[in-house]
Amino acid sequence: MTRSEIRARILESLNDSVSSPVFWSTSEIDDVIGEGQEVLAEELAIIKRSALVPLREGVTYYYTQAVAADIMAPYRLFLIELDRRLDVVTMRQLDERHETWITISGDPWHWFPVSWDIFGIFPHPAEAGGVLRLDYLAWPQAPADDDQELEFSEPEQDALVLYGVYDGLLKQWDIERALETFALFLERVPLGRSRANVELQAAKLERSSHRQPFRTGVNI
Amino acid sequence: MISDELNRIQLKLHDSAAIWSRAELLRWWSDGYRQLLALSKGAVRFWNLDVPGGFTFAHTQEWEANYGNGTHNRFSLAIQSGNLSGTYLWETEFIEGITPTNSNDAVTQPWERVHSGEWDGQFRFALPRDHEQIKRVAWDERRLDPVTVKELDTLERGWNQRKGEPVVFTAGLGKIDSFEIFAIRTDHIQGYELDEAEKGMPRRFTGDRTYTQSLASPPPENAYAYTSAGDAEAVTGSPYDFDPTDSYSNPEDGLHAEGSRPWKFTWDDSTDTQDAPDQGFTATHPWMIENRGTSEDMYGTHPFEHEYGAATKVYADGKPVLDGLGWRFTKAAAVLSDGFAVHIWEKEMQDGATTFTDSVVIGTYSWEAESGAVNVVNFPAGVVRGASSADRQYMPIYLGGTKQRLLGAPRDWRSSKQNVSILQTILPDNDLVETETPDLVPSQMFKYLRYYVWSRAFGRQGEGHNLILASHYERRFRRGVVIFNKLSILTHRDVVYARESIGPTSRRPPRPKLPPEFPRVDI
Repeated sequence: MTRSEIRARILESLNDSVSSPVFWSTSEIDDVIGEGQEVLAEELAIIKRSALVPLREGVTYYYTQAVAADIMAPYRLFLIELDRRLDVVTMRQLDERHETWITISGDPWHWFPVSWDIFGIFPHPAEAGGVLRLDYLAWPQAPADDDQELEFSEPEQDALVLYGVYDGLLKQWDIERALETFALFLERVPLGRSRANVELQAAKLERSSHRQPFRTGVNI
Repeated sequence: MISDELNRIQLKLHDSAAIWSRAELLRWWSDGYRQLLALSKGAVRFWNLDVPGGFTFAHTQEWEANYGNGTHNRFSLAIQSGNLSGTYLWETEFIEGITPTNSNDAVTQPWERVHSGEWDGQFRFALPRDHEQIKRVAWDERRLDPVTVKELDTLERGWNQRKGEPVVFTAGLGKIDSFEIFAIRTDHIQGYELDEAEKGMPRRFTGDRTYTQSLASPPPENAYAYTSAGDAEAVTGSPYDFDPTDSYSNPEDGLHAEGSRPWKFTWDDSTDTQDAPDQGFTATHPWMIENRGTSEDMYGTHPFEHEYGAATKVYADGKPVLDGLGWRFTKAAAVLSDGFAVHIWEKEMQDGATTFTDSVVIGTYSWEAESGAVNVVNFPAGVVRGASSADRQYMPIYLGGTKQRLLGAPRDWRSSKQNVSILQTILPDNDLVETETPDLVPSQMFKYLRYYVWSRAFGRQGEGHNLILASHYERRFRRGVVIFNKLSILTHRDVVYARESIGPTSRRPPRPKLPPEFPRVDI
């Protein structure tokens, strides 16, 4: 569906005119659709994009906002020239591996998150050159025009309609129906997650890097 | 921008500040911003500290801390229910009428330990105002593990005075927003000394470390030096004051013009359309080239003729161009007609002083600083926009504010080498205003701040009170906290997973059951 189609469905559900709505402006509905897209992207982790980062000499830490403005979180870093996927570690693991790991230079092998907008690589390159491919979960971008298809599959687009109706009902002070509609919207989230195939959660699976050391059971 | 967010908030509230004032909504928005960061610990920044530490000011009484800006350190000791403050330990005994015992030195700032002997105080460091929680502390790039004071007390006596390489850090015995390290280093290790900091921001590196560095948009070198204001006008070709050594009309004439500053006062055209199309044409007045007759301006041949009504041609050919930054290396006398001087004592003499100041090595070009010239180190032009090195990273670290934070100039330089560096979560340290666009959280998270404001607005007693909506938006804000918290750990999702649980199990393996017909064996 395009944004105009979603907007039309929302307005129809709210019993308002599609061509010239009375209680909502077009930009108001568009803002709600944008907000709904963001909520879906956060809950489903469904939008994936890639960006390229040139490696610079001596640089360990990178600001994600300098790579792309829509980065939600990086999930894969790939060194293109060396055809190497960087392993994720924590700063704690690096501390345990080498006391002064920050001083080590060479081709990167690992990367580690620092915060939502900073990640680091280890070791840092001694010379500039090489390109890092950063695959990341992204927030949706606002459609350029009404005729643009949104970045979600059809079921998620239906959820967007529900989100718009929920927000519209809130504006009408129809709280009971609004909360019911929001509950319907939330019901779509698990289904969307399974479609996004990102349900490899630690609840069922365990990180191999967190294995307990083997115990012999022998007390000496 | 926050004002746009407040507009959206008011739209949903159906209120134009009649029930909920704009200031009230802004305050809630700021609270939500702080809450989101505090609960999620989402904003993480680096911070480096010189060793020993320093505070903005030191004070003797608790109440004094309320009357100064910046970090503060109470160096005095509370005595007699806090009614008195002592500096040395022996004062406590003295006030009680007990024969005093010799005590250690006293200092007001930790960095004074460089000049003192043993001190009974703690080796303390101040954290910046926006600090929220320490995530990692390192000394000279090495991680320091956290310990409690109780563990240190158990470890050995006088740990707070034990000198050596720091190995642990502790929240210590100081106030909030401070920490201590052990063992201590009392030799003064300053990452960068801000030379002539009172004259502005740092513009150039010098040092004795071995790693290389290069600066983005470094301060420019001067292209030429001059001695007086008149020289400056001459070398830059000021159109009315420039005094050429000769004037000429044709390029051929210019080859034979006299002096170093000849000036071409005419205009050229590639073809003479009326008289000689195949030859070039040189005119004294521009109208001769443009339309042959409409101009009534009188053009002179020398710039000084401007004073007598002649329009003056400003033309690159006529200027002795010196590109780049010029720098005056002399000092003007108090009375300009007395001329100028190179050394300070010369100026003092020109100004009629009777005592004179020793001069320093004077240079004319910035590179002469390497040969000992001390007057050319920092030119007050340009700012450093970045620094890079093959050996280490130079990161911009900013305090408070909004996206405009990175548009300023570096005001301070810190190092993690032989210094304490911390990784900390931070909180906004100032009240937001409507024209700001805070960036400690991504702008996509602003919707959760709207939910926070609505939850507070609907939760407020009085007109507009709606507990159901307040509760609903509170839940939505809480969900935003969870999501924002996940953003920094989502990266861990992409690791190798094992299908089986590997940890120790509490389930006991079943006892073996043998078939009843299994032969019994008696031993």
